[in-house]
Order: sequence, then structure tokens, then C-alpha cells
Amino acid sequence: MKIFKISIILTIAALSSLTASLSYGKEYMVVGARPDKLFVIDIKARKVVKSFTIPDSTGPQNIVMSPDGKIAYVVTNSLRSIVGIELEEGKVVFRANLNYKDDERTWNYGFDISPDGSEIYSYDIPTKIYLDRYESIDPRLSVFKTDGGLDAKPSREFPLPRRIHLLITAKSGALYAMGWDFYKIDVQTGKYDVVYPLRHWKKENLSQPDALAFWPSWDNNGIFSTPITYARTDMAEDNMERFRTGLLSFDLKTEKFNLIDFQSAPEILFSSVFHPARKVAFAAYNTLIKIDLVHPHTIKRIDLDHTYYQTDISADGTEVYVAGTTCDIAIYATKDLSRLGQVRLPECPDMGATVVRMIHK
Amino acid sequence: MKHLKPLNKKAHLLTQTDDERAKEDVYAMQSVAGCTTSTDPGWEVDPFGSVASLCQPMEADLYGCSDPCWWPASVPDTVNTYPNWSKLEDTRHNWRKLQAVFPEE
Repeated sequence: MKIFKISIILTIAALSSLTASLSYGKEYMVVGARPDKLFVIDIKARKVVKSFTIPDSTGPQNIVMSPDGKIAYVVTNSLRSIVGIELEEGKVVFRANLNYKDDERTWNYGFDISPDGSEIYSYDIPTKIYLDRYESIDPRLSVFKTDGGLDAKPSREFPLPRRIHLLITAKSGALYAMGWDFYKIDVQTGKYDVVYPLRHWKKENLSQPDALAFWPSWDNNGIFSTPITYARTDMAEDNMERFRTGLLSFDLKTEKFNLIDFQSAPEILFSSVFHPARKVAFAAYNTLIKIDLVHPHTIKRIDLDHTYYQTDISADGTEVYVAGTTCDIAIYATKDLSRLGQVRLPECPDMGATVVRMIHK
Repeated sequence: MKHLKPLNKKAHLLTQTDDERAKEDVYAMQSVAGCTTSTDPGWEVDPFGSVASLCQPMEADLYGCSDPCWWPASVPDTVNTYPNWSKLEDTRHNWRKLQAVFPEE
């Protein structure tokens, strides 16, 4: 019955797609929107070229692309499911419901895919629901085969620390997780080690850091980055220079971490993205700023029309994008942060906390 | 404990437990199993004690917070009990259509 229902929905999903074919060699942006939308955007043309309906969806959140850019895996259904959608016709080719054990309610807070596209790594947070209480079960890494079909079950599962919210697969295939610390995870054995302490870092004269890092912005530069805030404990508490903002980065090829300190903290920043040449970076929330990475400081700051959560960049490094929250993606020149345009999603569905991904076909 | 008085049966049972080890551990969950478990006060002001660094406008932040249950006190539980409460497009312009919810009979 479930399969029959999904088949009907698959048809609906396919019918709802626009008819344009994705051109080989072009750059596209993939983005979700509430309650059940997935869009493919020709970002240089400022045009939505594909529109799909995700079955059984509420609030698409994280998106992971297959290495060939053909399938978008979307966390949806109130964080309970991962759905794989083929981007040419909108066919649903994968679905894993994460509460695959009895009597549990499970949320996903971070997932990624192996470099060969054969496995999905999902950070699951299960809870048992009783009439009078909730029982928090140990979080786990669930490994799904991407050829698992529409009722995929995990091929392996391992316990992981609490408070993880982001998974990153390095080019080598090593899996990294950001939580209270940065972990490196062996996806075959489940063994993990702290490779970059955050809450437990021992940096002289620096307080514990804080970061809100949900956004994947490494598609066009090969490097994860996030704004990170902390205090200089050797400075007076009434000195605003005490409160610092840095950029924490992780190179997906070399697997090296780096932290730069670039300004005191006069503003909140949710996300950042490195320019592909890695001499400047951009970060956004209510403002969009350009950051000099060579001699760390803020080069320029502009006010945005409204809050945006995610920052991303074109492969040629000429355009920086801000997305999330409402239904528009704003486009600015990386050179001087002048506004170049926007893409408004059809019918204006709210993006909320969904992410954008950049692909090349 | 002398300043706290039990108000329901379970609370009375807890006060009658002599062996502290008989009580199950209670600890903060990493995340939530439903919006009613999340308490996240502090959204009224930004880290600088003002409102300028809150999301602008508020509607832009509504679903980014409520979908993962970060606004439990302010909006219905869209994960468990009222999943259809927020089926609204272009919330910046249509937010007045969002309705209050009431317990079902």
C-alpha cells in the first residue's frame, strides 16, 4: 500500500517538473522550500529551470548531492526522512525513514555522501516516546546504501557523541563531524577521535567558542568554513574588542583546520563561504561582509534586505549568493558587493532553514 | 526541596522516594523529539541586549526556527500535533493568516 501510494506521488512529482533539460557543463543551484518543493536554478540566467514536489515532505532542510550531480538527497518529513530525487525527471529513487527501529522517533541533524556516491551517512537522534516521559537514546551514525530503494535500511550503524549537527565527507572518504568538538569517524568501524577541539580547546586567553554551523558551502571551493565567536579573556569585560569573530575552516582535500581572527563582534553572522582563490571570504546574516583572509580584517560590509541564513559563491568566483529564510536568493558581486540581481522562487514558498547546493552538469 | 511542593501524583511519588539512585537520570537532550521538549528562551533580545541583531523581519526567521522546534513557546508544535499549522506561502506578506491553535476535543 505504501509503495502504491509512493508510486502515485512519484507520478505527481514527475508531472510537476518543468520541461527544460539541464545543460551539460553549466552551473546550477539546487534549493528546497517549504513545504515540499525542490528547485533547480540556472543561477547565471536568474531562472528556475526545474521544479519538483517531494512526496511526504514537510520543511526540506539539508540537501546532499550525488557526486555526479544527478540526484539530490533531501532531509524532509520533519527531519525524519532522507529522500533522493533524480533531477532530470523528478523521479524519487531513494527513501530512508530514520525511525527504522521500533518505538522511536528519530531526527536527522547532518548527513553526507561517500565520494563514490554509494553510501549515505546520517547522524540520527532517536528518542523513545512514553505517555509520561521521553527517553533520549544514544545518537548514532546510520550508513545507507544509495541503491537501497524506497525503503532503505541501514547497512551499518555506530554510536556517536551527542551534539553533532554537521557531517562532512573529505575527498579521501574520511567522515568528519562538527559538534562540541570536530570528530573524524571511521565509517567502517565507527571508531572516532577528536581531531579539532572546540568546546574543549586550550587556546591561550580565549574563551570557549560558539558557532552555528549547519550550512554546506564547500561545493565551489573545496573548503568548509563557519563564523565562530569567542572572547579574549585577557581583555577587560567592558572592552568591546574582547568579543571576537573568527573563521574556522576545514580543507576537504588536505583535511587541515585553520582559524583566523578577523574582527570584534559587532554583528551576528550565520554562515560564510571562501572565494575559490581563498584570499577573501564572505559571511552573512543581516549584513553581508567581505573578509580579507591574507591580512584578516573586514574589507566591506553592506546591509541586506532581510535576514539570510546561507552564503554561497559561483564557481568562477564573481558572484556571492545569500539564501534561506524567505523565497528569494540575492546575488552580489564578489568584487565590491554591489547587487547584481535575485531569483524569486515560483509562488514564493519560504525556504526556512533549507540549504542551497551548487552543481555542474 | 523544602520550597518546592508536589502538585501531581508523579511529583508526590518522587518526593516519597528515599533512595536517590532509584530515580532515573534526567539530562538535557541534544535535540528535541517534539517542540514541547524544547525550552529556548532568549529570542526576545539579541546577544547585545538589543533587537537590531534579531532576524529581520521576524517572519524571515519563523520557519528556520519553528521547523527544528526552536520557537516552542511561541508557535504550535508543527512536528507532532499541528503539522499543518504553517502551510502558508510567502509568510512575509501572509503572516496575519497564521492562526492560534486549541486542544482538540
